[in-house]
Parts: sequence; C-alpha cells; structure tokens
Amino acid sequence: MLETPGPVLLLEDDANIRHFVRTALEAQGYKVSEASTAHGGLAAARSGKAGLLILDLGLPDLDGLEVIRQLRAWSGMPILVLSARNQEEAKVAALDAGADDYLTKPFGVGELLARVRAGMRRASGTADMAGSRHVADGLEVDLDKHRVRRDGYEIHLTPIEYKLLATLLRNRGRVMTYRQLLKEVWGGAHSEDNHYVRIYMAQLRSKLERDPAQPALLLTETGVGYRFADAAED
Amino acid sequence: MVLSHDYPMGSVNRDKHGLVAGHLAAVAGVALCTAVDWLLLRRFDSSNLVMTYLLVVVLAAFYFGRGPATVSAVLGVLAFDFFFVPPYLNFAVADSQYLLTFAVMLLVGVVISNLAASVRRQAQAAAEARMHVEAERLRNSLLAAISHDLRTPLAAIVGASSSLAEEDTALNPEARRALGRDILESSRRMSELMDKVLDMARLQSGTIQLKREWYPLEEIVGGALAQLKGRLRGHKLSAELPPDLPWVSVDARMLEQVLMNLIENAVKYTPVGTGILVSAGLVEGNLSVEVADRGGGLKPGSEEQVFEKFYRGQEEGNQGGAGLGLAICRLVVEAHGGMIRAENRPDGGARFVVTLPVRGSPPPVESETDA
Repeated sequence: MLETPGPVLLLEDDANIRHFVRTALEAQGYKVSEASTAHGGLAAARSGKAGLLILDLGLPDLDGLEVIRQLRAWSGMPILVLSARNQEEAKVAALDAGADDYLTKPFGVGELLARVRAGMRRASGTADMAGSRHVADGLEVDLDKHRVRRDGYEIHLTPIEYKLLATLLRNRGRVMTYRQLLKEVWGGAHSEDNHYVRIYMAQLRSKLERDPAQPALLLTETGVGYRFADAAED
Repeated sequence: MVLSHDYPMGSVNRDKHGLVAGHLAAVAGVALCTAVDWLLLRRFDSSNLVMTYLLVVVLAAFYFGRGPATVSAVLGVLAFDFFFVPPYLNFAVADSQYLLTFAVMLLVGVVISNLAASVRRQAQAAAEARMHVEAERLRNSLLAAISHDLRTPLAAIVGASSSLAEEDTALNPEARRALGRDILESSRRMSELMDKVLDMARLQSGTIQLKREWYPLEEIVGGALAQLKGRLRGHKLSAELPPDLPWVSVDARMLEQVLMNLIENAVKYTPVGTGILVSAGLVEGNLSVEVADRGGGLKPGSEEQVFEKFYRGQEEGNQGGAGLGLAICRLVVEAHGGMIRAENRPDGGARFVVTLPVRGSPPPVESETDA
C-alpha cells in the first residue's frame, strides 16, 4: 500500500466491470468514486479531488478522446484508458491526446493494480523520474553524467540513442507512442516515420539488452510504441 | 481464399470500360469478318457469306452481351449490303429479295443477343446464389465450432461461480480460490476462442487490410514472447535470431498473432517441460522463421491438413481455439505474400516454417553526427 494522492475516479458504463475494479482498488486502500457517463465523470473530476482517472474508451455519450481533451485542458492527473482488442488507433489517439497508459479488456486484477500503482507513483512524484540515476537489471544510467553502463562496462551511445533512452527512462513504466518519441527525440521532424524510432530502438536493444529478442527493459508495445520496464515490475 | 466471382460467359460489363470495349470489339469483329470475306470468300455465294456475319453476332453476344451483339447485327447487315450485295460498294439494293435477307439477319441477331443476355443473367444469378450459399455454410460451420467450444468453458464458469455465489459457506478459502482459478482459466479459453473466431471472420471476408510498416524480425518475436509470458506452462522457450536479418514490411500485430498461434500450439500439444525454439534465417533471399518443438510430431501425411479450418491435433483435445489457429496463420502469411508449412523434425517433434519475401528495404535514416 502506498500513499494515495487522491481517489481514483472510474468512468465505465458496465456495472460489472465497475464492481470488480472498485473491489480490487478498495482492497488496496484506494478510495474509488464512479461515473457511468462521460458528462457525469467530467463533473465528478471537476468537483472532487480525483488523483487518477480510469476511463473506458467506449462510453455511450461522449468519445473518450473528447473526455481526455477536456480534462487535459485543466488537469495533469494520470489517465488510464480501458480499450478493447483491435482498437489500436483509438488507443494511440488517446495516448497522443494525453492519456498516460492503457489496459486492454479483458484484463486481470494484477495488470490493473500495476498500472494504477505506476500512475499514482508518477503523479505523486515518488517515482524515480525526477532522479538522474537509474538502475535496472545490471544496467546503470546516470542522466546527469551522461553515462551508461551495463554490468560495469561503459556503453557508448550515439546522441539520438541516448536521447531516446533518456526519454523512456524519464517516463519509466509508462508507454510512449511513436509520435511522442518522435517529438521528444527528433523535434518536429519525421513525425510520421515510425521506423526511425524502430531502428534506434533496435540499436538500443542490441547494445543494452542481454537478449534483444526477449527484452527485459526496452519493451515493445506493438502498434503503439515502447515502454521502459517499471522498477516494480522486475 | 476470397470467394471468387465466376461468370461463365466472360466478365460482366459493369463498368464503362467493359462497355466501350465490348462495342469496339463488335465493330472490329464485323470489320474483320468483312475483310476475310472480301479477300478469301468473294467467290462464294452471298448466302454463305451471310453466315459468317451471323457468327460474329453470336460471338459478340457470347462474350460481350446484348449491346455489342445488336451493334454487330446492324453493322453486319450494312457491311453485307455494301460489300457483297450488288450493286457492290453501294448501299442500294438491286434485287429486293436481299431485303428479306437483311430483315432475317437483323431479326436473328436481335434474338441471339437477347438469348445471350438472359443466359448471362442466369449465370450471374447462379454465381451469386452460390456465393451466398458458400458464405452461409462458412458462417454456420464457424457457429457450430464456436458453440461447442464455448459451452464447455461456460459450463465450468457457471458451475464454479454459482458455487462461489452461494450463501452456503461450506467452502473453505482454498476451495474458493481454486474455483476462482477455474473461472479464470475457462474465461481465458473463451476469450482466446472469441479472438480467433473474430480474426477468422475478418480474414475470410476477403478485405484484409494489412497495415504494413518496416520491422526487424526480433521486435515481432519479442512482442509475441512478451504477450505469452506466464502462458508457457513450464515449457522452456528460446529464441535464436541471427543479427542483421533484413527488415520486412509487415503488419506487425498480425504477424505477432501468427507467432503466438504457433507457439501456443507447441505449448498445448507437447509435453510440459519440453523446449520450444524460435529461430530465423535468410533462405534463398527470403526471411524464414521457424517454431520447433519436441512433442510427438505431426501425424505423417497430415502436414497440409493441419492448416485446414477446424482441424484439431488431438481428437478430444478441448484446448480452445476451435482448430482455427493454423488456418489463421496461413491466411495471414499468404496475405503477406509468404508461405507456411509444417513438417516433422528428423530427431523428434514438429516444426512450422514461415517464409516471407524480402522486397526492398526501409527508407534510409539520416545518419547523425556521432558525439
């Protein structure tokens, strides 16, 4: 159980899903408030002190994307979207619009709690992101000193490789879409060239992963982007 | 793979292109006929030459439809009159008996073109009816497969959950947990089945939309393995991918699904604890990906059969998936222009080999100036 920066607001129209999510979160000590429509949810978000929003993309009254946009206009609270299989575009659009992470239905309690915990950590700033030193499975990265070491050996990264790694580490545990990575690393250029990211990720994997075909740290979210494995997920 | 439209009498003139082509062909046919008659058959009696024009009308009706057939009938009469009825090279008619010939020729032409039109319509209708019957049959067999494979896990779920929901507290916590696990496992089976059926339905509809992007194979393998974490049931999985394999332009999610289906089959049908190997290489310029296991292997002779819809490795193996996994693999791989085959390994076990063509290479990335 961790510090809870605020209650979880659950925006989901299916009663049974709401029930199981509420049960699981309350068992972990989170306070949960619910809404079954987008408008109800937005109102609740404005009035309450929600610390994290769980948003189903398939709400009846308003497009999930619209909810995210409206919320992001005034709030930086973590947003976790619930999407269905084969809804890649909707998922990516939600992430690009400001959602932090996603869960694909059907999901189990383990994945739910992991994502909520990660979101809360980022929100409260207790995550490692503000820090400059990251350690993961034999990999040491010092963002201040611009140094990367694997099992004690210094690894040389090109400027873009380094920037890519740093971006993922600063958002550790959170999925980053191709578009977000392209923007952070390449600026405005190449906003449609996903394979740029892919090429550099392949280079990073071969330099940093013990088995590039079974990465432990630089995780691929197919069709969406990449994620640096969360510390707690090891 | 896609249900094809088979019209026995050539293609339907649905588009403007076909229409114009048909009429032009009719004109050309009459011209050709006239030329042949003029050069070779001038000495024949004109009554025989009339037959050659009728032949053109029949052919035009057969291949191009009513419009072109009528055109060729009219043009045929005119050409016959102009070239072969005295006075020659003139539309006037010296002997009025030819007017009867013209009339009959035109009439025959019109009758034939109408006949042809109605036969074509019937053929069209029959082909459509066949298509519908086929689609219906596929739908029914999918439904039949689903209903059986759904009912079993559903029975387990209803049974276990009704126990849990009972007021009766005869169950101890461990028993309740065990029932919960059963519900979870059965639900996952149903979910997997549903995914496969939906994939199959989409792939069968013929409108496969591949979202191709350039990928290194290792990323697709990595993605598939990540999703299978925890579902390997004690099998040891190793990946052997040589570095520097060429990138391929593929729909990553679909190809991931192919790999997952192959690996899941290996997990389901081979003894717990045995190894599963994913390897890749370049073979004759094509990218080759292999999933190999150490199970009992395939029944000899069934290497092609396994890719058929609803084929199951073991008779009573209610492993979920309705026997669709490999059929889906084949559809996806072939949509990518590749091939998939199954064979037994010489030293035991089975291997599934996917071959993908390597066409071109990803657009170059600007090199950066190194720090």
